[in-house]
Amino acid sequence: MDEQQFDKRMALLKKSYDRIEPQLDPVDVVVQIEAEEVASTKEIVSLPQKNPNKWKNPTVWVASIASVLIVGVLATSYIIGPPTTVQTTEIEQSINYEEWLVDFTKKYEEKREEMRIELDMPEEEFNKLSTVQMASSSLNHLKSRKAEFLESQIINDDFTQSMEWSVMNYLMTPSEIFKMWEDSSVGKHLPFSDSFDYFKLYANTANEIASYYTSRLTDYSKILTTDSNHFPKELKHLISTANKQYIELQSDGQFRPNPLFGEHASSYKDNIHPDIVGYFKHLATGSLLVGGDLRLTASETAAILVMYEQTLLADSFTDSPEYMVLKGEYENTWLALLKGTESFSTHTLDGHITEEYKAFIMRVAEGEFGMVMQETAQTIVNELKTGKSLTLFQLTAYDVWMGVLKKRYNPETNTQYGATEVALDEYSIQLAQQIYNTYKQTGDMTVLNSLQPLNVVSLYIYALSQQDYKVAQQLVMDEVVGTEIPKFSDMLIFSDLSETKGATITIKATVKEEEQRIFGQSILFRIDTMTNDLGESQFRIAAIN
Amino acid sequence: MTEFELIEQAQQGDKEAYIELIRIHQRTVEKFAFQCGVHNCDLADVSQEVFVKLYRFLHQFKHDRFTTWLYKITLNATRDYYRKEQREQAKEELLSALQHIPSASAEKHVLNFEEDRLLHNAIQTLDEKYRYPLVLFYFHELKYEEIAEVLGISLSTVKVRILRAKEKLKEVLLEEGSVENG
Repeated sequence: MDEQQFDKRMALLKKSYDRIEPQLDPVDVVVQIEAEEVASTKEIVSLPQKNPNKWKNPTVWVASIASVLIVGVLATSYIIGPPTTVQTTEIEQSINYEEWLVDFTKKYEEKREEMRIELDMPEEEFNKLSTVQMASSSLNHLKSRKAEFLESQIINDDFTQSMEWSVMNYLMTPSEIFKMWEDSSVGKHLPFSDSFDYFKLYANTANEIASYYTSRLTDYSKILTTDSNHFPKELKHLISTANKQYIELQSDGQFRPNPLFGEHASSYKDNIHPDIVGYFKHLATGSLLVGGDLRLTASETAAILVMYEQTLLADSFTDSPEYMVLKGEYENTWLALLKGTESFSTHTLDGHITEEYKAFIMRVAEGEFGMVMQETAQTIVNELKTGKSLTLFQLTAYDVWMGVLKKRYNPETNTQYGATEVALDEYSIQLAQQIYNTYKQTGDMTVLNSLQPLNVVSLYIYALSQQDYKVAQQLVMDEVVGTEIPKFSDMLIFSDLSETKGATITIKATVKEEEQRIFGQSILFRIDTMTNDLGESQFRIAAIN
Repeated sequence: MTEFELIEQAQQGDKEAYIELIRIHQRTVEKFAFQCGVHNCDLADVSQEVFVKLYRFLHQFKHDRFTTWLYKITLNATRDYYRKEQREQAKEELLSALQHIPSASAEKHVLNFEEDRLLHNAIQTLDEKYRYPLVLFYFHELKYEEIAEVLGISLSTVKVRILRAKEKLKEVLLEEGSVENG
């Protein structure tokens, strides 16, 4: 489906939306407002529900009829407006549009050529890049549908600027995408989902370019294993051009995008969300198995799997193609590592466990290579003491995935990553609900005692929204001081939680703008640690303001 | 009377002025709510909630862009609608059912063409972070800056999300077979 088809369908849908008949009777709004004003008491509890029998109230009838009459007068004055010079405007806009399109096409051609030269690609190859094709399709779309855009432009003078962006966004080199990512996150950590979008944007383009650069290596296959200082000038230029896009020539003779780990990594690498790193590592590494055997040593391979593990545990979009690929790689590589391969065998010829394998599985069991396979490795180690491990024999990719799932849904590992600000959206509410349900079902205090400060407040707010004061009380210290929070039934009255660490930890729950009249602008929670009878410390709310 | 004068009158408690304001903006609110996933039968209720909320803090309005403000409130009301009524699940079931019986929908009464209904439903399958910028860009013709303001995200994030939304939507449409590849 090209841009033209897509935009055409969206434009048609827009027209259909515009035909939808209004459904709300504005008088109903005023009736509800008046009913709430009357019902408003000294209580700080939320507003009453809409009264289905509102029309039985005679005062409502009088107010409504009066309102309708006045609206009729007002509406008439709106309808009988001064005539507009639509025709003149259209001609002017048409000329403006033509001029804009000529200017923009020139700008587009310049940028396209600039990108092609920067990537050092011949026109034929450059034109094959999907992002370049998308840009071209978008531009053609502008040319062929002038009338439609003209109509839009009359409504919105800045429409052309938006159109320029939508075309030019496709003409970004991988390094420019990284720069855009960096600019968008100045002074803050981008959430995982936004980081993933940038990753995908970068990876899509960089992968295609890296494939082209690899194709150019065929002429140099014999030289590649020699000292790079002796590479011919053309090859050095190719490598240097690739490096500017954070694409590196790797030891297996392939160019791969490697913006975080290589010699020429982006300076932005230290600010990238750590949960996205697994995707980048996979992008830079490619498959860890070749013909069923390990490409690297067992330790090197397992260390890379730790990075994949963090991403697999954190990414909530488990059905994305990127997630599925990483999951498959993770499962298959762990299976190969644990069951052994040709170069990394589990048993000697006389049937004994190899020393190399023993040492490796012990390190996995001790948690050196992540938490997902630790438990399985511990079982294998114990079983191998008897000479045979049934767990190892029966181990499948499904078991590896089950290990991931177990850790994904463990509330203890489900803490918000190093964030100082967390949006109270559907996801964080689900997380609070999950912790709440776990505690309610098990009554296990370790669920509450292992919570990080943000999760303590998030759960506290959730418990209040459920009117479960018993659970809420478990999260505050006995001597807690502060103001009473007005009753609310919806956690979504808050927009976000932000944590400030100083001598004490303070968490601010910001109230959404439209709810501030009832609940104030924000509620502050001071968090302290308290120690239980077993000498363990845990976070609790010490004050509320 | 200009919109600003109507707002001023409404701020002073003039209910008729407020009714007029509602009339000017109710189509925008209803369309946006519908495009965000509110079912046709609930549009009046959700829109009513929006305008009641708007009235509650109308006194805070100064010189901001009124429509941007309105979009924000509608967005929050739409989110609340999902959560309170637990509509997400019902929506998924509905969408799932629609894949097999595309015409058996309440939306049929709103969108007359099968192609429109398919596209509308495909948009509803997008994650909200992609759906909202896409809707505001294509159906409300908001500038990127305005979308950024409504959604509280950066300009570059808006651009990236619209790009990704388009990609995802095309994928959904291809999977459904409502368009041909190419």
